[in-house]
Amino acid sequence: MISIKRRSVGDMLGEIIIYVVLTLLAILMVIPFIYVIAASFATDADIQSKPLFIFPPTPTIKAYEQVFDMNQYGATVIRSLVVSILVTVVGTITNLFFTATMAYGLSRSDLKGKKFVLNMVLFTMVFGGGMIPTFLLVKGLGMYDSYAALILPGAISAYNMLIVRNFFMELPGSLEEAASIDGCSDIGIFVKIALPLSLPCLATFGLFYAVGHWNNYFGALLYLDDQKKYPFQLVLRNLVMQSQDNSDPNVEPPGDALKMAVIVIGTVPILCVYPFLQKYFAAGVMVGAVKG
Amino acid sequence: MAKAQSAAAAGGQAVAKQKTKNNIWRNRWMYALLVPGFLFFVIFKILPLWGILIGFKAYYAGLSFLNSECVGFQNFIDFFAGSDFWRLFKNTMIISFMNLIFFFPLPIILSLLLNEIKVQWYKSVLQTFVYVPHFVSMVVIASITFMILKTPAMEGQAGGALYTILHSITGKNIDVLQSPSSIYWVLLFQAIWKETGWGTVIFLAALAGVDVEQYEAAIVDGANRWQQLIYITVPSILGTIVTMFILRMGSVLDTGFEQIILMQNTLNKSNSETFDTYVYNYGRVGGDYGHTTAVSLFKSIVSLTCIQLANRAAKAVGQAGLF
Amino acid sequence: MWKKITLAAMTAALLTGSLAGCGQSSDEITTTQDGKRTISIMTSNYSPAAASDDAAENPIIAEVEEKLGVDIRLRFAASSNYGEKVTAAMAADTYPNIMKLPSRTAAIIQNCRHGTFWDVTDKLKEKNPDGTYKFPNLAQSNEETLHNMSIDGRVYGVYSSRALGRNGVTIRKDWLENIGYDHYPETLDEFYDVCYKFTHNDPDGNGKDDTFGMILTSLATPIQVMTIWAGAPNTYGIKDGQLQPAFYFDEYLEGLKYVKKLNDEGLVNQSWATYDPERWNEMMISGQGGIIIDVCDRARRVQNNMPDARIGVFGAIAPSAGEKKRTLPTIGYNGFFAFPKASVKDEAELDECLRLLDKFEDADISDLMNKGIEGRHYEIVDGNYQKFKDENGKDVTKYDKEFADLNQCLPLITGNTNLNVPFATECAAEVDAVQEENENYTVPNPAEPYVSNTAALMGTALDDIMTEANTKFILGNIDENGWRDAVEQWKKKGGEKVIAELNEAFLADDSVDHETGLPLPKGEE
Repeated sequence: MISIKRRSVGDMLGEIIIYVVLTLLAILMVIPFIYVIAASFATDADIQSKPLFIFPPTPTIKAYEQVFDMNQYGATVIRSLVVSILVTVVGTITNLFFTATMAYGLSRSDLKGKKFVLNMVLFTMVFGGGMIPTFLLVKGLGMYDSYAALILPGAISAYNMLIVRNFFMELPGSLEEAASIDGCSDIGIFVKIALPLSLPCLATFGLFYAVGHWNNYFGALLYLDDQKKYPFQLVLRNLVMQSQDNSDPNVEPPGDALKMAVIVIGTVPILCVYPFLQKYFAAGVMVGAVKG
Repeated sequence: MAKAQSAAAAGGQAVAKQKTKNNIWRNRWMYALLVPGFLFFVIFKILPLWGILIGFKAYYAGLSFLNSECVGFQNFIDFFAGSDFWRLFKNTMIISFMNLIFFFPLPIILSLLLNEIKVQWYKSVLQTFVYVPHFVSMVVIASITFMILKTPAMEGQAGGALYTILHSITGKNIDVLQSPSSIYWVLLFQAIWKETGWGTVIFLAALAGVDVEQYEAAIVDGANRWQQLIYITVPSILGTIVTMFILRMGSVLDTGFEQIILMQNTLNKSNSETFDTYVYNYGRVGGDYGHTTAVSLFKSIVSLTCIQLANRAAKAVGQAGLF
Repeated sequence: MWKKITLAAMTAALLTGSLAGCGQSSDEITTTQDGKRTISIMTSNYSPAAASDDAAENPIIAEVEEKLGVDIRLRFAASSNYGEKVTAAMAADTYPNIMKLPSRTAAIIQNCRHGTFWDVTDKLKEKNPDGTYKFPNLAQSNEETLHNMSIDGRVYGVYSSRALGRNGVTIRKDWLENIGYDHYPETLDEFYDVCYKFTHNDPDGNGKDDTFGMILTSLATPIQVMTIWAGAPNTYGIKDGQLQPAFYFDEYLEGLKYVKKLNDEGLVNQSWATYDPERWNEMMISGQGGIIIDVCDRARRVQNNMPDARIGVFGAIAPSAGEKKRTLPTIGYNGFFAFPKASVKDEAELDECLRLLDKFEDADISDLMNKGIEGRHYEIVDGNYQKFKDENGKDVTKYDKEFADLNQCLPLITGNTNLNVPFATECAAEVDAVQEENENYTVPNPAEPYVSNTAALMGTALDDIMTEANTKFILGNIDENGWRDAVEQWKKKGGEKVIAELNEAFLADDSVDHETGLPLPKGEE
């Protein structure tokens, strides 16, 4: 596409600088996480006595054994992992459905009432009822202690929806016109043209939503009563956070290595999602290609 | 004469009505698409808004809301006059504006740099690496901060990595955490480290949508990399930048509480208490919803004003704006 | 446009306002088919999965229910966010029969005042016609703790007990011997001497000057403890029959000067004012510092982490030789079990709930809920409790989840047990002994039960003024005049109002002796 021969010396130099700077930045950003991984395989004594290390001085998998100890909480941890994956998948699909339909609905500039809906969305972005009214509502709708309470009350993030709407608005209008001349209804255009063209955007917000679901423990804490329904993050949190509160002398605080292992286990699965979405990001180039 | 005029006006109205009807009928499927989202906002966002009324009551969880005493604007008066309102306001503004000025541009710059990497696999690796900090919990980041800024416990011992660097540059024993105003910089750098990489996601998605043909045309015209960046890349993501900026203005008084509470100590506490830490301490922990709802309401009004101003400003300079 | 939206919002508000009233309601005490009474308990849990309350799944629950004739329903919520869960349950009007309240927050005080929960002040020590206590275990509640948890002089629940003498000093016992001490320091001078020698007399005997006396962190409590050692009151003292903040007393400044001396002479770690308390143990485990002022349990945890060292613990210090030793007490409880009127309909039902908590204190029930069933969870070897072992001699932990967090339902007021649980280390035994001994030396806070609305509104802003001034004074950033300026500032910013409000409540409370601030002995009928 772009021929290398045409690059000037200045361009080449700039490129080298960019590569070096970005590589250093990336290392700077990833080192603390590597430390966390290393610490999760280290002993508590090492963590407390050594300032920073990349390789555990005395490697051990004790912390992981503790988390997945089937005699203890292994079964709970694994069940909650399944719960989290399901909530994340179903939740993200729900989010994308609600967000994309609404964003597309609002993207047409001559739509009557659009202004009203937009103002309403904006209003709710800055004004909220707070925890208690929402809690009462969820309860009133009969969603208490069900997974719906983790998914529906957050089905749309106004913030994300507005950005997605901007993406839709920037889609070339000519495509839609062509499709409507071909006898496609608005829904047809949405499904057959708008959605495929905005895959990078949807992948991005899918990722945002998925990360949100994955990390959410507060909703579960508030809305779930049955401990068997607890998602992964809440169980992990209970493994470490609880006993930091020193008020109960009967509870030994968790080891540092265990805390680190819990962070690693809680983070790695969602980090793994990104590479799968990568190809959709690349697909964004399409928009320009079709436009011509 | 007059009759004819009013008849014409009525006719005009009829035509306008007909137009509206046509418009609505033509867009019927668009309305259909709007329905789920609209219902969501009405049910989950509008219905609970009665909670705002709590700000005007002496309400504590557990007591009957309807029977709670109505106190008018007393909660607001208590907040503005009684507690350290100005201290909270000052701290919130400093933290928020430092974030806006220093942090906001960074994800844009980083994504432009990443966009220049043409070796796909290497770009993916870099992207994945810079996203990682977003997933590291604030607790871990706080403990790493303490670790690298640690001053030696006694003479002759080693301090943290950053302490050692500062020491060798200045020759002084600098305890960053002990100087009250440095909390602002510590919070800023933590935010930069944690969220810059993740912030690129949105801009990279916007960059992925930039028309490749434009670059090809520019290359034919002899534009170098820098010129391509200035004349093609930046203008094409300007819309996204403006959108993000307007949205950011909507949360101008949000500082979060977790990060601040983790980094607080006796020496910097008066510099780091913000509206969010206040609401956290009195509402979520203390259960005093009357006062905290009043604070949240105040925050909301400021946010609404800011977001409106930013949107107008964007339109004034010829951008599309958000709404 | 905005008018329309506001109007719509208001309509919605009224709509859901009425909706809020209905929905699921609070638990009711009923009788099951097999004649058991159902009583639900909401409490916090610490483990990832708390024990099941289903008798079919959990033999411990089956046995407890069989013995007590009660069908126990447990509603656990994670302790890290327990307060929020309680708030939500209260807001949604879904009360259990027995609800553990985490602490006396503004909301809980208001609810107690407005009669959301039963007042049990006279219930705890109520007697049967034959003169025996109706609830013999609950009747043993500690007066100081009851006083601390009271609201306007009334008690609204059964407290969940914590040792009053829990604060203590963790110290390297082996170092202490190396510098020639055969006892723990008992006076301020001796304590200073130990810090000095830990710093300069090479207590670890490695020939290097690489140790220091005491490890301080950004937490303010150790400084408060030292002011109390110096003779200052705990948070508030009584002067001329009025409550006065501790820093109005000369001894308080003496205490600060004492800490300043330790700091100036380098007997504590540098930059302690910003040191993360999460990493408190580190400097002791790495063999640098020898003393930590915190809870006694810390000694046990440090000992577990450094098996080669010998860690000791002691509690109180006297201002000077011949004076009584002093120590900072805890408030004596960690939350309390309250009985909501919404779910506990009448006094007969209240008695049922109280009886259940009382029975939980009986040795056999308490042992079941703490340690499980003999032969399944543990065995008795030579009269001592020992975890049940499998054929390979390893601890059987498979069934531990059956009693996980059940002890969070226990008030732990009496400590009744039939089991003799041996201490794992010498240090652990010492921790236990010191906590008990400390109760003789505690300096109670006479203002603990009273509530100042100004203080509640100002929150920590007022406290912050003084902690900041104290730290700066010790570090030498401000001098004595600067510190006194801070006290003036404290007064002006609302401190004087707080004092007035507290005194109003204090003087109105006729259950205390206004000279000493201690609760008057309750008259027996």
